[in-house]
Amino acid sequence: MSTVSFELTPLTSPAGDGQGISVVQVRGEIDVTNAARLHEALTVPASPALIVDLSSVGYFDSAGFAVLDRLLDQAAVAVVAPPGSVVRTAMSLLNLPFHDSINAARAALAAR
Amino acid sequence: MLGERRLQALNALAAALLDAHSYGSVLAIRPAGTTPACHVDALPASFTEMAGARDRLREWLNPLVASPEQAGKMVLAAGEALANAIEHGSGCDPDRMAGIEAFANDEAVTVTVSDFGRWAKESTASRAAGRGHGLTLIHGLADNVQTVRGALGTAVTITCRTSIPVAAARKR
Repeated sequence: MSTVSFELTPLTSPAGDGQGISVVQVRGEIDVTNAARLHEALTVPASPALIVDLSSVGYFDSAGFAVLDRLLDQAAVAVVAPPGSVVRTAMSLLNLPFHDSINAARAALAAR
Repeated sequence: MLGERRLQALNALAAALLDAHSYGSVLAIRPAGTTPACHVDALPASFTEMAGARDRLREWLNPLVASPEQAGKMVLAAGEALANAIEHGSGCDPDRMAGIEAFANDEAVTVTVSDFGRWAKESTASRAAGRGHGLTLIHGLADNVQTVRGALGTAVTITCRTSIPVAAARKR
Protein backbone atom coordinates (compact mmCIF):
# COMPACT_ATOMS: atom_id res chain seq x y z
CA MET A 1 0.00 0.00 0.00
CA SER A 2 1.43 3.34 -1.02
CA THR A 3 0.77 6.54 0.84
CA VAL A 4 -0.06 9.35 -1.51
CA SER A 5 1.66 12.55 -0.57
CA PHE A 6 2.34 15.96 -1.98
CA GLU A 7 4.56 18.86 -1.01
CA LEU A 8 3.99 22.52 -1.48
CA THR A 9 7.17 24.46 -2.04
CA PRO A 10 6.81 28.20 -1.69
CA LEU A 11 8.72 30.01 -4.39
CA THR A 12 8.08 33.35 -2.68
CA SER A 13 7.84 34.37 0.95
CA PRO A 14 4.36 33.79 2.47
CA ALA A 15 3.53 37.49 2.31
CA GLY A 16 4.06 37.43 -1.44
CA ASP A 17 6.40 39.24 -3.73
CA GLY A 18 6.37 42.99 -4.42
CA GLN A 19 3.01 42.65 -6.16
CA GLY A 20 1.44 40.66 -3.31
CA ILE A 21 1.51 37.44 -5.30
CA SER A 22 2.56 34.16 -3.68
CA VAL A 23 3.90 31.37 -5.83
CA VAL A 24 3.66 27.78 -4.66
CA GLN A 25 4.91 24.68 -6.47
CA VAL A 26 3.07 21.37 -6.04
CA ARG A 27 5.12 18.18 -6.15
CA GLY A 28 4.04 14.60 -5.57
CA GLU A 29 0.65 13.05 -6.23
CA ILE A 30 -2.90 14.26 -5.68
CA ASP A 31 -5.87 11.92 -5.75
CA VAL A 32 -9.07 11.53 -3.72
CA THR A 33 -7.09 10.33 -0.67
CA ASN A 34 -5.40 13.70 -0.16
CA ALA A 35 -7.25 16.30 -2.27
CA ALA A 36 -8.93 17.77 0.82
CA ARG A 37 -5.50 18.31 2.37
CA LEU A 38 -4.42 20.14 -0.77
CA HIS A 39 -7.44 22.39 -0.51
CA GLU A 40 -6.66 23.19 3.12
CA ALA A 41 -3.03 23.88 2.33
CA LEU A 42 -3.87 26.22 -0.54
CA THR A 43 -6.48 28.21 1.36
CA VAL A 44 -4.22 29.29 4.19
CA PRO A 45 -4.51 33.04 3.85
CA ALA A 46 -1.21 34.38 2.70
CA SER A 47 -1.13 37.05 0.09
CA PRO A 48 -3.98 38.49 -1.97
CA ALA A 49 -3.09 36.40 -4.99
CA LEU A 50 -1.71 32.90 -5.48
CA ILE A 51 0.05 31.17 -8.35
CA VAL A 52 -0.11 27.36 -8.21
CA ASP A 53 2.67 25.79 -10.25
CA LEU A 54 1.79 22.26 -11.39
CA SER A 55 4.79 21.77 -13.67
CA SER A 56 6.38 19.17 -11.38
CA VAL A 57 3.43 17.08 -10.18
CA GLY A 58 3.72 13.33 -10.58
CA TYR A 59 -0.01 12.62 -10.65
CA PHE A 60 -2.99 14.99 -10.46
CA ASP A 61 -6.50 13.73 -11.05
CA SER A 62 -10.10 14.94 -11.09
CA ALA A 63 -10.18 15.18 -7.27
CA GLY A 64 -7.31 17.67 -7.48
CA PHE A 65 -8.90 19.56 -10.36
CA ALA A 66 -12.11 19.89 -8.32
CA VAL A 67 -10.03 21.62 -5.63
CA LEU A 68 -8.53 23.98 -8.20
CA ASP A 69 -11.98 24.67 -9.64
CA ARG A 70 -13.24 25.82 -6.23
CA LEU A 71 -10.14 27.94 -5.65
CA LEU A 72 -10.37 29.58 -9.07
CA ASP A 73 -13.96 30.50 -8.24
CA GLN A 74 -13.21 32.03 -4.87
CA ALA A 75 -9.90 33.77 -5.04
CA ALA A 76 -7.26 35.40 -7.18
CA VAL A 77 -5.56 32.19 -8.22
CA ALA A 78 -3.68 31.31 -11.38
CA VAL A 79 -2.44 27.85 -12.32
CA VAL A 80 0.73 27.08 -14.26
CA ALA A 81 0.52 24.01 -16.53
CA PRO A 82 3.34 23.97 -19.07
CA PRO A 83 2.91 23.03 -22.74
CA GLY A 84 3.12 19.28 -23.32
CA SER A 85 2.30 18.37 -19.70
CA VAL A 86 -0.39 15.87 -18.73
CA VAL A 87 -1.96 18.40 -16.34
CA ARG A 88 -2.31 20.88 -19.18
CA THR A 89 -4.08 18.30 -21.36
CA ALA A 90 -6.37 17.47 -18.45
CA MET A 91 -7.15 21.11 -17.64
CA SER A 92 -7.98 21.77 -21.31
CA LEU A 93 -10.40 18.86 -21.26
CA LEU A 94 -12.03 20.23 -18.11
CA ASN A 95 -12.13 23.85 -19.41
CA LEU A 96 -10.01 25.11 -16.53
CA PRO A 97 -7.80 28.14 -17.21
CA PHE A 98 -4.03 27.76 -17.07
CA HIS A 99 -0.84 29.59 -17.97
CA ASP A 100 2.34 28.51 -19.69
CA SER A 101 4.70 29.80 -17.02
CA ILE A 102 4.95 31.58 -13.69
CA ASN A 103 5.70 34.86 -15.47
CA ALA A 104 2.66 34.48 -17.68
CA ALA A 105 0.52 33.78 -14.61
CA ARG A 106 1.99 36.78 -12.84
CA ALA A 107 1.15 39.01 -15.79
CA ALA A 108 -2.41 37.71 -15.91
CA LEU A 109 -2.97 38.31 -12.18
CA ALA A 110 -1.44 41.78 -12.35
CA ALA A 111 -3.77 42.66 -15.22
CA ARG A 112 -6.91 41.88 -13.16
CA MET B 1 -10.27 -7.64 -27.17
CA LEU B 2 -8.13 -10.19 -25.50
CA GLY B 3 -8.70 -8.68 -22.07
CA GLU B 4 -12.46 -8.80 -22.45
CA ARG B 5 -12.44 -12.41 -23.66
CA ARG B 6 -10.29 -13.44 -20.73
CA LEU B 7 -12.57 -11.64 -18.31
CA GLN B 8 -15.64 -13.28 -19.81
CA ALA B 9 -13.96 -16.69 -19.61
CA LEU B 10 -13.10 -16.15 -15.96
CA ASN B 11 -16.62 -14.97 -15.19
CA ALA B 12 -18.12 -17.99 -16.97
CA LEU B 13 -15.81 -20.32 -15.08
CA ALA B 14 -16.68 -18.73 -11.76
CA ALA B 15 -20.40 -18.85 -12.54
CA ALA B 16 -20.19 -22.52 -13.53
CA LEU B 17 -18.27 -23.44 -10.39
CA LEU B 18 -20.66 -21.54 -8.17
CA ASP B 19 -23.57 -23.16 -9.96
CA ALA B 20 -22.19 -26.62 -9.25
CA HIS B 21 -22.57 -26.15 -5.51
CA SER B 22 -25.91 -26.27 -3.76
CA TYR B 23 -24.66 -24.20 -0.84
CA GLY B 24 -23.52 -20.62 -1.00
CA SER B 25 -19.88 -20.18 -1.84
CA VAL B 26 -17.55 -17.36 -2.59
CA LEU B 27 -15.04 -17.92 -5.32
CA ALA B 28 -12.25 -15.66 -6.44
CA ILE B 29 -9.86 -16.51 -9.26
CA ARG B 30 -7.45 -13.83 -10.26
CA PRO B 31 -4.37 -14.29 -12.36
CA ALA B 32 -1.74 -11.68 -11.74
CA GLY B 33 1.61 -11.03 -13.28
CA THR B 34 3.65 -8.86 -15.57
CA THR B 35 5.50 -9.55 -18.79
CA PRO B 36 6.77 -6.99 -21.28
CA ALA B 37 3.53 -7.26 -23.25
CA CYS B 38 1.06 -7.97 -20.47
CA HIS B 39 0.39 -6.59 -16.99
CA VAL B 40 -2.29 -8.04 -14.75
CA ASP B 41 -2.93 -6.64 -11.31
CA ALA B 42 -5.60 -7.02 -8.65
CA LEU B 43 -6.19 -4.81 -5.65
CA PRO B 44 -8.65 -4.45 -2.79
CA ALA B 45 -11.30 -1.87 -3.65
CA SER B 46 -9.97 0.87 -1.41
CA PHE B 47 -8.75 4.32 -2.44
CA THR B 48 -5.52 3.83 -0.51
CA GLU B 49 -4.59 0.97 -2.85
CA MET B 50 -4.74 3.12 -5.98
CA ALA B 51 -1.30 4.73 -5.78
CA GLY B 52 0.46 1.36 -5.65
CA ALA B 53 -1.55 0.09 -8.62
CA ARG B 54 -0.73 3.27 -10.57
CA ASP B 55 2.97 2.88 -9.79
CA ARG B 56 2.95 -0.74 -11.02
CA LEU B 57 1.09 0.21 -14.18
CA ARG B 58 3.41 3.13 -14.88
CA GLU B 59 6.49 0.97 -14.43
CA TRP B 60 5.17 -1.52 -16.99
CA LEU B 61 4.09 1.27 -19.37
CA ASN B 62 7.24 3.36 -19.41
CA PRO B 63 9.26 1.31 -21.94
CA LEU B 64 6.19 0.86 -24.15
CA VAL B 65 5.42 4.51 -24.87
CA ALA B 66 7.35 7.33 -26.51
CA SER B 67 7.51 9.69 -23.52
CA PRO B 68 6.76 10.01 -19.81
CA GLU B 69 3.87 12.28 -20.81
CA GLN B 70 2.33 9.47 -22.87
CA ALA B 71 2.63 7.15 -19.90
CA GLY B 72 1.22 9.86 -17.64
CA LYS B 73 -1.87 10.25 -19.81
CA MET B 74 -2.60 6.52 -19.72
CA VAL B 75 -1.96 6.29 -15.98
CA LEU B 76 -4.33 9.22 -15.40
CA ALA B 77 -7.05 7.70 -17.57
CA ALA B 78 -6.64 4.32 -15.85
CA GLY B 79 -6.46 6.01 -12.45
CA GLU B 80 -9.79 7.76 -13.05
CA ALA B 81 -11.37 4.49 -14.17
CA LEU B 82 -9.93 2.78 -11.10
CA ALA B 83 -11.37 5.41 -8.74
CA ASN B 84 -14.77 4.85 -10.37
CA ALA B 85 -14.40 1.07 -10.07
CA ILE B 86 -13.61 1.40 -6.38
CA GLU B 87 -16.23 3.99 -5.50
CA HIS B 88 -19.13 3.15 -7.79
CA GLY B 89 -18.45 -0.43 -8.71
CA SER B 90 -17.32 -1.65 -5.32
CA GLY B 91 -18.70 0.85 -2.80
CA CYS B 92 -15.15 1.37 -1.46
CA ASP B 93 -15.33 -2.09 0.10
CA PRO B 94 -11.80 -3.47 0.63
CA ASP B 95 -13.21 -7.01 0.70
CA ARG B 96 -14.05 -6.58 -2.96
CA MET B 97 -11.43 -6.52 -5.66
CA ALA B 98 -10.73 -4.25 -8.57
CA GLY B 99 -8.67 -5.47 -11.50
CA ILE B 100 -6.28 -4.03 -14.03
CA GLU B 101 -5.33 -5.91 -17.19
CA ALA B 102 -3.06 -4.22 -19.67
CA PHE B 103 -1.81 -5.50 -23.01
CA ALA B 104 0.59 -4.08 -25.55
CA ASN B 105 0.96 -4.81 -29.22
CA ASP B 106 2.89 -2.96 -31.88
CA GLU B 107 0.12 -0.43 -32.49
CA ALA B 108 -1.45 0.24 -29.13
CA VAL B 109 -1.64 -0.29 -25.42
CA THR B 110 -4.96 -1.25 -23.86
CA VAL B 111 -5.76 -1.05 -20.16
CA THR B 112 -8.93 -2.66 -18.83
CA VAL B 113 -10.08 -1.61 -15.38
CA SER B 114 -12.68 -3.90 -13.87
CA ASP B 115 -14.98 -4.05 -10.91
CA PHE B 116 -17.19 -6.94 -9.93
CA GLY B 117 -20.15 -5.12 -8.47
CA ARG B 118 -23.24 -3.31 -9.49
CA TRP B 119 -23.16 0.44 -9.93
CA ALA B 120 -25.91 1.56 -7.55
CA LYS B 121 -28.30 4.21 -8.76
CA GLU B 122 -27.47 6.39 -5.76
CA SER B 123 -23.82 6.51 -6.68
CA THR B 124 -24.71 7.65 -10.15
CA ALA B 125 -26.53 10.67 -8.78
CA SER B 126 -24.28 11.51 -5.88
CA ARG B 127 -20.98 13.10 -6.84
CA ALA B 128 -22.27 13.23 -10.37
CA ALA B 129 -20.05 16.20 -11.05
CA GLY B 130 -16.89 14.45 -9.88
CA ARG B 131 -17.63 11.29 -11.76
CA GLY B 132 -18.51 13.29 -14.85
CA HIS B 133 -15.10 14.94 -14.76
CA GLY B 134 -13.40 11.58 -14.40
CA LEU B 135 -15.21 10.27 -17.46
CA THR B 136 -14.40 13.46 -19.39
CA LEU B 137 -10.72 12.89 -18.68
CA ILE B 138 -10.84 9.20 -19.60
CA HIS B 139 -12.54 9.89 -22.94
CA GLY B 140 -10.31 12.85 -23.72
CA LEU B 141 -7.02 11.16 -22.88
CA ALA B 142 -7.66 7.86 -24.66
CA ASP B 143 -7.93 7.10 -28.36
CA ASN B 144 -10.77 4.69 -27.63
CA VAL B 145 -12.87 3.75 -24.61
CA GLN B 146 -15.19 0.76 -24.36
CA THR B 147 -17.35 0.05 -21.35
CA VAL B 148 -18.91 -3.35 -20.82
CA ARG B 149 -21.44 -3.67 -18.02
CA GLY B 150 -22.74 -7.01 -16.90
CA ALA B 151 -24.42 -8.65 -13.96
CA LEU B 152 -20.98 -9.57 -12.65
CA GLY B 153 -19.43 -6.14 -12.97
CA THR B 154 -18.12 -3.43 -15.24
CA ALA B 155 -15.00 -3.34 -17.38
CA VAL B 156 -13.66 -0.13 -18.92
CA THR B 157 -11.09 -0.68 -21.67
CA ILE B 158 -8.89 2.28 -22.55
CA THR B 159 -6.83 2.15 -25.73
CA CYS B 160 -3.96 4.45 -26.65
CA ARG B 161 -2.01 4.17 -29.86
CA THR B 162 1.71 3.85 -29.43
CA SER B 163 4.63 4.21 -31.77
CA ILE B 164 7.00 1.71 -30.21
CA PRO B 165 6.84 -1.94 -31.29
CA VAL B 166 6.79 -4.25 -28.30
CA ALA B 167 10.00 -6.05 -29.33
CA ALA B 168 11.88 -2.74 -29.30
CA ALA B 169 10.31 -1.88 -25.97
CA ARG B 170 11.73 -5.05 -24.46
CA LYS B 171 15.22 -3.80 -25.10
CA ARG B 172 14.76 -0.40 -23.44
